[in-house]
Amino acid sequence: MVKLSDALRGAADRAPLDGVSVSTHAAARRVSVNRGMRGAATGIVGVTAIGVIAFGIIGPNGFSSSSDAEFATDAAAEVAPSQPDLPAVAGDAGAGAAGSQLAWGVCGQATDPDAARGETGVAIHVGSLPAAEPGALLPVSVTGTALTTENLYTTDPGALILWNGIVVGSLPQEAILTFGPADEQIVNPDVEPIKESLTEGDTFGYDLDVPLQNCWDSKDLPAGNYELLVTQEYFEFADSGTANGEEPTLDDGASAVPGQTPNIVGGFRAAADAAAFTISGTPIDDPFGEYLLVPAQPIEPPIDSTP
Amino acid sequence: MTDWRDTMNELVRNRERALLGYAYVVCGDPTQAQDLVQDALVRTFSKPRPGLTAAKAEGYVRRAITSVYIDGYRRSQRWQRVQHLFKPAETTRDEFGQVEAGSDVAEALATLPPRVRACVVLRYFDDLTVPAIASTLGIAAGTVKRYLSDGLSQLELALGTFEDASLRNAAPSPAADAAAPRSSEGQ
Repeated sequence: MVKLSDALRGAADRAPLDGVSVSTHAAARRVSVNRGMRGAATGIVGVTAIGVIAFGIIGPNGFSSSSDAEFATDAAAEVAPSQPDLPAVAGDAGAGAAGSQLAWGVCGQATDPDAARGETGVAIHVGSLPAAEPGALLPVSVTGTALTTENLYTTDPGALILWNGIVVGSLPQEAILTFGPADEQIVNPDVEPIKESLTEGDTFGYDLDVPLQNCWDSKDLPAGNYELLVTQEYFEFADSGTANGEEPTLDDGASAVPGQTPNIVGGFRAAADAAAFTISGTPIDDPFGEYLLVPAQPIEPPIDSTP
Repeated sequence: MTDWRDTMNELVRNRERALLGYAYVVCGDPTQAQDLVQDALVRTFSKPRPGLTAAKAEGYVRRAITSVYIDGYRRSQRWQRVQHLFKPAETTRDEFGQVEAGSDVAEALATLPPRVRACVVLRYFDDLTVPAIASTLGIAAGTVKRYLSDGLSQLELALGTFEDASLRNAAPSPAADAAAPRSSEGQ
């Protein structure tokens, strides 16, 4: 009588793998791209969810189909793995989002700080920033003011580092929402959401340390002038006790249970005004030229005169 | 060179054959095994993990191999749900295949549906408990038990009774639980 465990391990040892090898070079390049995209990917997922949810639930148009959010997020989430084994090229990252505003905040993309904002229940503000040394952590104090009275869930703010309006660095906000094994939207079990029980006029604060590294390969950002755009996403959950067809309630009992499908009734992204800061040293010419490759000019298709 | 590159290189340098062999047992195809390991490395190292050693990384990569494999299966299932809109449907291999007595374990494994195979490998190759397998694959513990039972029955048809087959309903082993790295891969 054999042991299945031994049989399996024997099968692994005898696997016909001649000529099969793993390219660490190719893997490392994909990892570099993904690490650069990580902020963007997290941002895309979070921004997609919040964007669609915020505009869908509390936005002016008032649509509220979660399937749209799932579809958009699914599509966006599959952008990153499909990136080619090349340095992230400006334009690559957002392309998968079909040029929609869901691609906001992508590494290497020009970003309009105003586009970060939705209809918010919180105003956040970043004070003046000190000059920083290359490779240092930039200390940032974020203050917030509640514009509404609500129980909201969030995580520490995220930040984008902009150079001439282009995203060159990021500190992603941990995403409260993610997707479960059946592609259902769940509360991210890997994060601990912060519950903010806000009353209009309340003030609160967060301290961030933003790494001054680029979002492609995590190298130190070179000397120069930059802007920091701090954003923070908030979600409002309702009790999920609607099994009897009851309307969800928004009392204090509404909670975000890790790993469970949340009953999302609202959400928004707060964004501070972009704050200027300087990395000390001698600026170099074209500091991001090797990353911000200019795409090849499109080839015009031949004109076909036949109808 | 950054730390994660050193770690990845060390892992592949020392454990490439073991990882490929494991992936082969999971998927049954050398070329797919190569892709699985490659994707698992990318998935593992794309997430910053301060202090990650090559030894620890191997655990993550192994978990990612099964995750990537099942993810790929899920994607193919999604495609199969709509492919009839584009072309005539092909036969989907989600049923137990025919196994001849005395066949090799790799051949017998190849007859198992992907999820069942993944459960069998995680249980009997990695010594994971049923709850750990459920967590890794994102399915219910009861489903894991059913897959294990079905898979073992199918394998025993070809390979005879296994000495450790009684483990199919064994209580979780604390040692195995401790050894099982927590899956944090995107699923």
